[in-house]
Amino acid sequence: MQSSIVTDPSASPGTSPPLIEATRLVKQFGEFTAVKEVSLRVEAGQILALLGHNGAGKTTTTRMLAAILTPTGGQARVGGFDTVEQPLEVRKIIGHLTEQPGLYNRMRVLDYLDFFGELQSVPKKLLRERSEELLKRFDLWDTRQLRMGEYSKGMRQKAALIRALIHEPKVLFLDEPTSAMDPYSAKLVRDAINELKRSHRAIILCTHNLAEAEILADRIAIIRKGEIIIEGTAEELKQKLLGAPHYRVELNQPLTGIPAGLLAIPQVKVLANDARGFNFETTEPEVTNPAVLKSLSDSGLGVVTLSPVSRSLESAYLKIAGEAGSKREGIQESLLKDYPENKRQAVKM
Amino acid sequence: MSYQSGQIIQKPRSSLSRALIVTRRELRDTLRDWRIITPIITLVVILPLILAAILNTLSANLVRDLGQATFYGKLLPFTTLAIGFLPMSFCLVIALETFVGEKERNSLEALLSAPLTDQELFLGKFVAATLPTVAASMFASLSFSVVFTLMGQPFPVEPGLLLTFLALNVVQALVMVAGSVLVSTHTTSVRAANIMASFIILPMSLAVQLEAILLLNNLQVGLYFMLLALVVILVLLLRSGVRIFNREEIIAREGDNVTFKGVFKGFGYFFHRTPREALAHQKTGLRWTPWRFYRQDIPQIIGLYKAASLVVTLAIAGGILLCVWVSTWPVVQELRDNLNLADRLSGTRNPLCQGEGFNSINIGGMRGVTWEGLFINNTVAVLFGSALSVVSLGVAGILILMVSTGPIGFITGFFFQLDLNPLPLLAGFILPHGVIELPAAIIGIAAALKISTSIIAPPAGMSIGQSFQFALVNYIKLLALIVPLLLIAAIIEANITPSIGCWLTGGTV
Repeated sequence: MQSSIVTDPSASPGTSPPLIEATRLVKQFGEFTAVKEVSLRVEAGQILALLGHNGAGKTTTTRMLAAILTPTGGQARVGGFDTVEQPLEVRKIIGHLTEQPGLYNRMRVLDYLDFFGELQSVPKKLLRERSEELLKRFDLWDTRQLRMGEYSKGMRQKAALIRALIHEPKVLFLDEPTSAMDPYSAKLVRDAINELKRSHRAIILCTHNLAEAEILADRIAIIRKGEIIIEGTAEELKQKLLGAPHYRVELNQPLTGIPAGLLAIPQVKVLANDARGFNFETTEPEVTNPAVLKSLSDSGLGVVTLSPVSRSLESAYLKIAGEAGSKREGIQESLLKDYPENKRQAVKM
Repeated sequence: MSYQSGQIIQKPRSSLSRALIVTRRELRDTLRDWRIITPIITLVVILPLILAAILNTLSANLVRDLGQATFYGKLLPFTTLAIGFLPMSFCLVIALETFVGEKERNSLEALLSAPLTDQELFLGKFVAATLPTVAASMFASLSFSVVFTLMGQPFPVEPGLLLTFLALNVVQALVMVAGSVLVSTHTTSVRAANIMASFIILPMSLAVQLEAILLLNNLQVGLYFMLLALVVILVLLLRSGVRIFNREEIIAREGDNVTFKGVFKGFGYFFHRTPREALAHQKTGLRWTPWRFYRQDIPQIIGLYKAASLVVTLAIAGGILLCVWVSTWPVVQELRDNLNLADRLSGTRNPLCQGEGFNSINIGGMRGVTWEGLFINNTVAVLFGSALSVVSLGVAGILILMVSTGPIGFITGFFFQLDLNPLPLLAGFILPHGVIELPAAIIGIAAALKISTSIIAPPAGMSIGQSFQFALVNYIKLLALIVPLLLIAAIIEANITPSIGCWLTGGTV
């Protein structure tokens, strides 16, 4: 598939001001606080994934950033525009894929895109070109004569995504972009999101799909009861929530006991062993892993493999946000030592 | 795929053109719906044809039975008016579909993310909801008139009257759509909106019946007054609609389920909080004590209802002045002379000052002028006026107060005309209890007025239901002020006012 990405040289990650910046955003509906002092920043060329249960506050946060809802407290700027003072400017530069595609069932997709393109002041000719390009890209071109009421869930989702992209927004809020799609379509969309990222868009991705968040997002923020309780790269989250990386050593002969030399290596903690090998935890694998190999060699044990034990983002997420993680096991105080007291409390709830 | 950020936007469109983009889409959507188009075509093309044909065929018989004046002067104009009103019901269907239907189908949020102001979105949808019906209404009236004329009959209605009909139908359509916007903003489903739409249909049906009565009784000037009244209502509804139709309200409204538990909880919520706390959605209220109630709740409600109280006060003052003016009308002066008021008002001994009671009269179910009777009478009057106010946007309650205070205007007028000083009478027999009774009544009617307007213009962050509960609770809280005031006023009126009055007037009337 042809992909001609034109990058914006004025914007590169880390050098320009953030395209999305929220400071202590609060949203109350009556007495219910949906979002509590959420702060976040996303620069051009970055994807921030917001993870959380239904009702955690992801959608409300994006609605405030999209200048649809007015924050009860705090401030947000998108593309340099204040979401309260300059909502129209904000809405001109954002593309918002809502949780529900919510199409106009009696319309055809081209008319639908014409409508939103016209609202965004996209010139007619360019609008037609872009519509065709995007419809072909997302495999909807052949169905353009159908009324959108006849579309499948996945097709509807793609049509809504195209609508969000039709005016080439600098900032994208994507709420569950692949939720109703088959694997092939989901791959198409993920590829498109990656391209958008490379072309220096700032993207907030709200999702329940942890694997997708891990693949796409530069940073992940877990939101629970309206609060961001932890934020970082996928690896950082795993390390903070699940502890130091674990490694597995497979040996070419049965292991009868842990060699004494291995136990003497600082920062290595043997977790479990069996006849084929053992697992250990280390905070500095660059230093300790060669030492482990040397120690095993000195002990006359042949190493077949030394590999990291894969740990999913899901287990980290469940630990911090899930009922099992929070109620039955509790969150280890040590894992949360980097977090302010109030946030630790929120995690423990 | 090329993503060239920010380079493709052309010159921004004007507000009107952005609104019209929405209108065009909505119109296309409406005109694609056969469930709307089929009945509209039936009503604006087929029905006028059939009616014209029937009336043409029966014209000779009808002229003979009803008379030429009735047939040509009343029946045909009324038919023209009625046939223009028939498509009106589609206003509601289209408006509810346009406003709440889009919300129900979850397509609204995408639109709310577009660079449109709330007003542009409102205008775009409002025009889209009104245009088909207005066009249909005009077309129906005109097609009937033209077809009937083409059948060799005279044009069924005078051009001036036809214009009035068209204007009435246009304004009625606009009123209905404006009402639908209010309903739609506070519901989340077309079903709920349809139920609430009965609040629009019923008054409009009454309006049409009133139009028919005016037309059939040759009171065509009344149609102009109706047109004026409808325009005033339209302006009020539009003002509320523009205020209420905002992203915050639309998005935040997630459900409209009603449960008894929820209703009671709502009342409890507002009872336990001061009005300021309720308006600010504060979680914890001050502890309820009678001290807090009278020091915080009541003054805050009175503060909130300043504008409404002012409206009621001005209406009463206007009513009194109106009565002063009416007392100068020749017909009223003739009545004054026939009743021989000049003699009666100058020097007549006031029986109240002679120690005579008014045992022949009955006030509040009590014989004579007693504080109990006066209290019951005034309390019932305020409650009754309040109840009527709630269902009449405050009009009935204000009218009752105007009728009660109107005699002050007549007395003042007559006294001045007879070169008498009304001040001793007014200051002696009305002021002592009036300074307490009248404010109590004004506050009561103003609070009732606020109940009726609560569903039109809810405070920020409140649904229609919450706004109604809030206003109702405020009214009930105010009764804790109004009732004691009426009691005090009644005691003064029965026991103190007569003495002061007799003293100031010297025992004469």
